[in-house]
Amino acid sequence: MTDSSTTGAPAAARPARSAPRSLRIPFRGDPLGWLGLLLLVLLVGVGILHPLLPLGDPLASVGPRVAGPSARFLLGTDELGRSLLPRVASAIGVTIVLSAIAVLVATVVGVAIGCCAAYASRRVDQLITRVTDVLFSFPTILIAVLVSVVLGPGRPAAIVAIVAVTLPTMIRVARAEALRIVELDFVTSAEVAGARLGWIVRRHLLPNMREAVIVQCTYSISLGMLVEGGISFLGLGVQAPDTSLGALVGAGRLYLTVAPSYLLIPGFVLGLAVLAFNLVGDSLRAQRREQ
Amino acid sequence: MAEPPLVELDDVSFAYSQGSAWARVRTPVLESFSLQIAPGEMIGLVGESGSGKSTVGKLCLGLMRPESGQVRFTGTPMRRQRPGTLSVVLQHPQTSLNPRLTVERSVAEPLALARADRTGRRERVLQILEQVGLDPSFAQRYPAQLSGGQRQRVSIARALVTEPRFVLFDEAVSALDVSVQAQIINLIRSLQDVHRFGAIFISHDLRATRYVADRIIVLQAGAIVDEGSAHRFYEPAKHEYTRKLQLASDI
Amino acid sequence: MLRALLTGGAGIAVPGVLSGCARRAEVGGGIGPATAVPGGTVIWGKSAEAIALDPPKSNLGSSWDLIQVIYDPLVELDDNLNVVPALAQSWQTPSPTEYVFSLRPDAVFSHGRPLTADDVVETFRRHLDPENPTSFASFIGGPSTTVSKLDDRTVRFRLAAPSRTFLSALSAASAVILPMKEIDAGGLDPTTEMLGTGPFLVQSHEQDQRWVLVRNPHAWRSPAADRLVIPIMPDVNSRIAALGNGSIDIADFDQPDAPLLLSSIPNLAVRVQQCTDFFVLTLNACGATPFADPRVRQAIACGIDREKIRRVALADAGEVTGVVSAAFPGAIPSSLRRDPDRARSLLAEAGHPNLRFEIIYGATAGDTVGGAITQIIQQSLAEIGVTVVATQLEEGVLNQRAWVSVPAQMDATVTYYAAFGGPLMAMRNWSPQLAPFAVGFQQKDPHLTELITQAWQAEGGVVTEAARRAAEAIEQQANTIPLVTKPVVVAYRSDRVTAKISGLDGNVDPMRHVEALSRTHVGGR
Ligand SMILES: Nc1ncnc2c1ncn2[C@@H]1O[C@H](COP(=O)(O)OP(=O)(O)OP(=O)(O)O)[C@@H](O)[C@H]1O
Ligand SMILES: [Mg+2]
Repeated sequence: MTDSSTTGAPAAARPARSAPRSLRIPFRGDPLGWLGLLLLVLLVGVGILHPLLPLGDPLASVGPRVAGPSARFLLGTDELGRSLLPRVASAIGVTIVLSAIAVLVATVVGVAIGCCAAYASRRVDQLITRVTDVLFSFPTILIAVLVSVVLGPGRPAAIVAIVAVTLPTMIRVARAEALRIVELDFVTSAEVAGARLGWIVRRHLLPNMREAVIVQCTYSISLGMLVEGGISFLGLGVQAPDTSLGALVGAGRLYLTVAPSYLLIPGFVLGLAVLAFNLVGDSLRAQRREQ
Repeated sequence: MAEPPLVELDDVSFAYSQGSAWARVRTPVLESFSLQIAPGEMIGLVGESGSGKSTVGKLCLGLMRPESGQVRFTGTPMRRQRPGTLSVVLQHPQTSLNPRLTVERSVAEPLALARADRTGRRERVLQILEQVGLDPSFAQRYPAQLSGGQRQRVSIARALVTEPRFVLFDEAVSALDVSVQAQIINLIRSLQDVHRFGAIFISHDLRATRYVADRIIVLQAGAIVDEGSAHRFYEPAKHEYTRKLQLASDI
Repeated sequence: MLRALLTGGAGIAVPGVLSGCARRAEVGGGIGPATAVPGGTVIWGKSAEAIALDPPKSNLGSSWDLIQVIYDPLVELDDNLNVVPALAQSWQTPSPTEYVFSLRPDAVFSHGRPLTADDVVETFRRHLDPENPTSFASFIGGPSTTVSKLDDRTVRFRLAAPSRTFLSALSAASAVILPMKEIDAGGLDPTTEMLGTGPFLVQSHEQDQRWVLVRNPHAWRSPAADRLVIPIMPDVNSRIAALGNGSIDIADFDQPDAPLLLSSIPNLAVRVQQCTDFFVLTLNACGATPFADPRVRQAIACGIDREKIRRVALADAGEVTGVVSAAFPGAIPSSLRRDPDRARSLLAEAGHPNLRFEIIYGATAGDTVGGAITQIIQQSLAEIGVTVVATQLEEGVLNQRAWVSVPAQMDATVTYYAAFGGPLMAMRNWSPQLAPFAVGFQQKDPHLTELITQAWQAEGGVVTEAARRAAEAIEQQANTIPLVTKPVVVAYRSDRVTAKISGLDGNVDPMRHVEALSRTHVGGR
């Protein structure tokens, strides 16, 4: 084993490993990851672009009440005679966007708290950890319901509920990552060179936590969609006439025997969205482990 | 009027404490420990694993505070130094560099922290890379594209780029292949000749240490058991523990 | 949605003496091919727990149905909402302000003590307590009404003024006769225990789980079934499933869609019961709000498509109504017409062309009607440029904001008003003087109160000139806008039980003919 460092051999002579700038080529040779990504793109595309698609008006009562799928209403109609096709499409958007916004907030807060915990005194760190554990041990839906009762129902409540539910895990992941990175030699070097907390967080912690945090985000978003589903199912989330997948499942439940598609289709789509995020998350995680 | 020592540990005691905030476990490491490093002097610190070498090094950098006694830098109590005054080269080539930064950005980091003039930085980085034997093409590489030896060279370049007054080399070569070790040690030696920084060179390996250091201190269980100028350690030592180290690393 | 608040006032008595023929339930007198054999256990999956058990204080429809199984009132409504005898076997009105009731000789409380005139007198003294009259009291003339015992089986009411609401009000669940001797002696707490002269007595109760009732051995109107087990099943789907698998025999539903939902279950008789109760949109006109301006309220009233509410939200099951519930035979038709152009110009005139407000509504498990009505209102008001934000609230929060706070903490709410057995009774809800619960959202309008009082006192049929004037004034005021009636659906397993379900009811009592309920095969369970 000889070292060529003194010669500075041209880079081409070396097997040029791609820079590990994280997730540049996702899911190499991972069909499930690709499937997840494809689903995700499809669902997000439909959810966001549905007003441009010729699906119909999600708010107008135009058809018969609670009808099953037909040529005119491909997914049937709801109890107010609204076509379910555009309603499901807009619900996808609402569900994913709400969950994504909430997870974004949870990520910012979680990473900030996680970094602080890694740098704080041991007492503060343990306090944060204990509080996180306590939060973590609450039943998810209970937190969600509590939040929406306190705040009153609506989108903000849904978002806060998802934040409350996903935050503990995010703090855990961020804290564990921050603790791991803080111990690495390059951080010590920077400290000796005079770097302060802000510098270290920006330069060293955040870039190196990124992958773990992104992986956690995908799981959090899928959990968030389930939470949103739960509270909208209970009528505490998105308010009429807007709808989300959970709200549709909640409304369709009544008509299970008459028009099963009313419940099953949004339920299936919700499952699909959760699956998509989890597949992507699994892929990212597997890939990270490889590196 | 004698110049004050660059770094001075004066009657220092230190212990690690572990465990939860409510159930501490104390591990005493140093007791009434004293050490002086003159400006431009390279001290070799040898001793078996766990003897407290790294602890001494970190105290000298002000990374930890002693329980009692005092750490002084140029005669005044140790506090936060101006960025770029102190630096460190650590053992593990895998973690010594931030994988997200190019070589150039890593090496330039201490310059940025020291608020060195932005326009001169790039030039300075290329210059120091050249001094550690890396041509400018390395500047844009990421650590994953470097060998262990090259990474250690980058670490050294980063440590020296601000022309610090005191550098800690903590097992800076231990993780490297023997042939590479020699190159790096030569490099440190020659750079020290140029830059005249004060330094502690920590190693298990007496052979490497005596080549690079001016003075060698032998540490056992947190206490200095032998001490002398480096060339003294080419002859079989009188001290029994030192003798053991010589046997382990020499022949 | 379980709101049933009412107001009273003075009214003129319906003249005429009805001699009472005790209404013995015709067993099996309704639907179901099999002949009923008396006896057995019938299981009624009830949609909501009864939580306000003390009749004079009870304002929840979900308690009234149970109260009416345990207790009896002096008079009842028949299937056409005529007043017929119950505990009073007959009555006379010597003057328009005087009612004399003779009590049945065979009415006995379920612990064996016969009903006396004292029980009746003391029951109504609780209502008419001048210090603290009940909400119901206004229907029977308020504290100025006196009640006295003429002999052990005769009771006399004296009113300060004639009352059109008095007699039908006596049929309400709030007016049932309590065993006052035991209550006054302190041995019985009517808020937790129920002891009446009705067909059943309470054997056991687990809160939110089930009631077990057994036949009252002393009942003057003995029920066909031996036992009535009442599991509390708030979830619609569980009630549907339980009907399907036979674990319950009969159930009540608030969903107008219930017939559709139940259509796949064989051997199920499904009856839509028209009720006098009706849905309203209540605007909060108190305080600095656009709704303080009558033009804005009228615009809303003209903008709402009530026919669409009936068609879509009620699944064609109910009727568009005015202040006098359309369920009453010969009701006064609503004067409100949908007129988007007029609505828009009223809004423009009032300076609120792009009005935006919030409708809060409650939702108990599976009760989607309030939400559906709100959304139709949302749709139709969008056409006149008004934006409605719909917010579904938990029942307790809704109660606090809409009915308890003064002023109310809301812009508007969709709810329903109980209209009882008298066509004009619900009118009082438009006068905060007569209906204190309305003080937080209903504008004080002495003139309107005067019109309502006149309607209550006027003589003649339902559609007196005074009633018509009051109804029109109420609809013009548009503070609370009547929308559609609120039907109830009752379904039972016709292969297992025999039941009689009335097609029209005034007292939130889907089980009005509970004594006719019976298992078809004895020992079948
Ligand atoms: N963070 C820490 N917490 C608790 N104990 C520690 C910690 N770091 C070191 N120690 C203990 O302190 C003693 C001295 O450790 P130190 O790292 O200074 O030894 P060293 O001479 O550098 O050893 P090595 O050659 O293995 O690096 C050892 O017994 C070690 O177990
Ligand atoms: Mg060490």
